[in-house]
Amino acid sequence: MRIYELVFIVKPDLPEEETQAAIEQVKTALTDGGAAIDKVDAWGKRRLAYHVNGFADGHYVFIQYSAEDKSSLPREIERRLRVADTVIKFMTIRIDEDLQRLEKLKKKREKRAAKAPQRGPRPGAARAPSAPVPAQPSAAPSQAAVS
Amino acid sequence: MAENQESTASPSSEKSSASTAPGAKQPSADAPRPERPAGERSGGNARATRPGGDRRPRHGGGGKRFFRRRKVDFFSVNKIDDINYKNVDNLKQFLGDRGKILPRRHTGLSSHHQRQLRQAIKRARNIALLPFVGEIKKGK
Repeated sequence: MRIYELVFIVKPDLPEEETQAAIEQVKTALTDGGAAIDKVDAWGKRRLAYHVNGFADGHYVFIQYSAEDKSSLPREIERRLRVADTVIKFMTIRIDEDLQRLEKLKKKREKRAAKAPQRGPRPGAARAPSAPVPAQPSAAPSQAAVS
Repeated sequence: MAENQESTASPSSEKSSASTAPGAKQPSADAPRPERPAGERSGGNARATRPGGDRRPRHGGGGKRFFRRRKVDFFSVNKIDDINYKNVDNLKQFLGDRGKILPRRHTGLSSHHQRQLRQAIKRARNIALLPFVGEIKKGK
């Protein structure tokens, strides 16, 4: 299973229904192609960093979907977006490998976090019994006894 | 930068002198090279007087005199694992005034993070979240 992120920009001057229709079209194309849509996020109208096809703004739509390994679906979707005249820009990114990497990092971090408290009390615990034994005498003899 | 030149120049000059006969031929083989250190030195002097010279921390003779903040890896300090193209505000601070990606000597990032940053910025540019060229508004 591969997970993809698809971002595309719909023309800003379309009426609301047409924008929605364009999004629906992509979604149905995805599901028809055997992909599962994980997330859909309309970022709404945003200013573009540079003009695209003469437009300074655009409706950003973000879709995360998962498709089979070696599926030709992403290619097919991109082909459709290319010919769709309501979409002015698009980008597909495969993210499953990145997600795996992040997961690994997270686990590592949790492991370290779980280890850290253990490491904290251990020297304290070792010192705690040694400290009461000599009680009043200075710290130097106790250290000598330990060593 | 100047140091790099020097370090690359000196071994090559040694090599050339080693491969050819040492002694009389050496000055002729090295004839173009002594110019470079001289140029460097003058560059170093110029840097010491130039106001922009203090931007370069480790290199150059004049650099040591100035005290500057130690650079830290922004992403490790803030524990950001995922350098994402969608997080435009985060990326913007690593762009120059003209939208260029700042070099590592400027950003202070680890090479790993700089590479991820480069990837993220390029993606953001592709989808018109960041400009390829031109001014970017950092205030946003």
